[in-house]
Amino acid sequence: MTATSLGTRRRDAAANPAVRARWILVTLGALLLAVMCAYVMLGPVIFGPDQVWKALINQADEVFHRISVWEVRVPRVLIAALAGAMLACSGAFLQSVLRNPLAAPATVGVTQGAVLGAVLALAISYGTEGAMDDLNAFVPMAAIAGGLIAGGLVYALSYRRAGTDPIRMILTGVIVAAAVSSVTSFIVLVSGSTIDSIVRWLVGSLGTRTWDHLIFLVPVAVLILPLVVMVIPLANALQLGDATSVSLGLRTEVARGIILMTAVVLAAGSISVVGGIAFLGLIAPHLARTLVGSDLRRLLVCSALVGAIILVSADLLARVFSLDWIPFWEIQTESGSRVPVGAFTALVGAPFFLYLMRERMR
Amino acid sequence: MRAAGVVAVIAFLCVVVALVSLMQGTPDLSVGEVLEALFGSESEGNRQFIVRNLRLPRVVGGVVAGAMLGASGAVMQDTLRNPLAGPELIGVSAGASLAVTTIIAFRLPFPGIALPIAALLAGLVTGTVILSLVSLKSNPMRMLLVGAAFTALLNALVIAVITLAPNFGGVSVIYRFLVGSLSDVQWEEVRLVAPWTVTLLAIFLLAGRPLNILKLGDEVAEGLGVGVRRTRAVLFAGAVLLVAPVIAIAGPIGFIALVSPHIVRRLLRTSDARIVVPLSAVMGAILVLAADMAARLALHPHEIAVGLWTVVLGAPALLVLMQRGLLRRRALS
Repeated sequence: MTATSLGTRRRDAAANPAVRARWILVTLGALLLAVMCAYVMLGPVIFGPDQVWKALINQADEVFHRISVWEVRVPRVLIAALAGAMLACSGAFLQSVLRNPLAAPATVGVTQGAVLGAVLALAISYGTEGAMDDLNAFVPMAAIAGGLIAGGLVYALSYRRAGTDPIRMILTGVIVAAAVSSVTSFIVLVSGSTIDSIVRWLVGSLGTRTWDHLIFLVPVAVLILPLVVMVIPLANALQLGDATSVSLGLRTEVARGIILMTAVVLAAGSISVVGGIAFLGLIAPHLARTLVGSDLRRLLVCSALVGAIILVSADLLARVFSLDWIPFWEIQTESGSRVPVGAFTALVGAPFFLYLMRERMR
Repeated sequence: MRAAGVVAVIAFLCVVVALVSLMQGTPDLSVGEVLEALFGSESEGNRQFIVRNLRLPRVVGGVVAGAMLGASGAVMQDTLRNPLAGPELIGVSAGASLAVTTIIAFRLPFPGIALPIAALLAGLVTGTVILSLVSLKSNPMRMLLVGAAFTALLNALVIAVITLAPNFGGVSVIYRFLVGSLSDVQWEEVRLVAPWTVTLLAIFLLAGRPLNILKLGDEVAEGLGVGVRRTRAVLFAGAVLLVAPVIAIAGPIGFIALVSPHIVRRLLRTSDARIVVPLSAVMGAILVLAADMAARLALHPHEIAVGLWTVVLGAPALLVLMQRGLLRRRALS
């Protein structure tokens, strides 16, 4: 908001940033709810609200309705919303703390490292039985470890005495990511897995995700939440620049380390369930920042909402796009052979990344 | 003297690597057996069949693919005056790969001959789009980032196409179009590429001089009477022309085009395009053959796509290039 518009609308209550932000958050919340409802209603079979309600309270007209709503769509939409929110928050932290508008889990190598960790854990625990589609408790932990190692490597390689140059850091991230992804592909190939798992680990997909997977997502989210709340003031102080935050009595390197770790855990937790979804962690915080400004208290909530909305609607699009009714493609409707949601986020995200680069290099 | 020595060593190395990759596999053959199977008129039919029909096409395909990629990288780097240029980094490979995937996955009624042409057109389109987004004078890293964003986008589309296609199941096919693999190369594929090697020869013979002039800078080149824009466009198209057939038969094998010219320049301590372009081709062939051997042998019963090896080994090389500040010097000029 520019100074002039602030001046002319001073008396208007809506011009108060806090009030304005509150309204924006409420609107976004309503939007998220609407998208989630649409998600549950639309699909190969379209349900009306009454049918959804009946299915939810286990009074469905047909067993098939209950299975479709309760065992396929509801868990999947919950996973989409939660995973999207976590990725977006991770991106918001990374962008503020590294003071780099191009930073995001996928551009600093965290995503690819986390995917490698998850795939390694799966390969070790299931051997070559081709069970890359499943999860166990080690997977999120391995994903976090992988994300930390890859992110740390990128940070170390791009660190100079004067701090990290944004473009250099992203470039290093892209290169490290390429190498790490290749190792992931190695493992996915050798462990003889299905197309479904290849697609998930390479571009990110919500196919075949059910309650079992939500159970692995929730604990990470719940455990990290207090830490997120605690580091918000630290992150806000760091945004002011190193000199200012030192004079505020902050040990900047320690604070930065804690916040970066929080960001990695957030990203890795969601990646271990939905795979490496491209560009979401980059777009959502940017949109949020244009809506509510860069105060992290508001920015994080807003990013989470925007991230959830984007991922839910992208997956809705992906599901609608791969329906039977597109006549000559003879698409199989098993969840495994659908267009992955990661393809849709990349479709939106890559042009957005280019736009940001253009702004940045001016 | 040094140059001649290096050339001899590189050429010798290429022959050795080709022979060794003909020897490896089940059954392992000795040098004599391979030579006999290749040139002998009558030997045990089995061995001759394995060498001539199974291993030789793959080796020949690898040599041709590597040579085209290496030459293409050298031409692109000099044309764009960007040490980071390479078909895989500026999105050309991914665009071409998407076109080929779409044709194959949906079984569009194109003859096999049309595959390299479709790859060529798509590669030219993506390359032009990306080049129009970055100016040549800007930081070379910027082109790489724009290319990376495009590659991510196009790879996601490749996967989307594969998932949408009816009964398009083979895992090896996915990897062929995402990272590149020589496992499907047979005589038929080699025949598909063969006519395009004419481009390769034409580039060797004709491109050296204009490339050397372009490297002097736009003003000097104009002063020497070279139409900079037109020359640059023609040479860039030539470089894409080199990559297209490789992608049609083996997919976007990464980092060969980027790394080979750098190795050659460093070994010979020259950047004379008339020497660098042909030798990059030989170096590319060596690298592809070596990586393909690793792909076949490292985890033996499984075969790892060759493109995975080249990325795993090439990415650190690129990082070293960056750390040495090789790029910053160019960025300032």
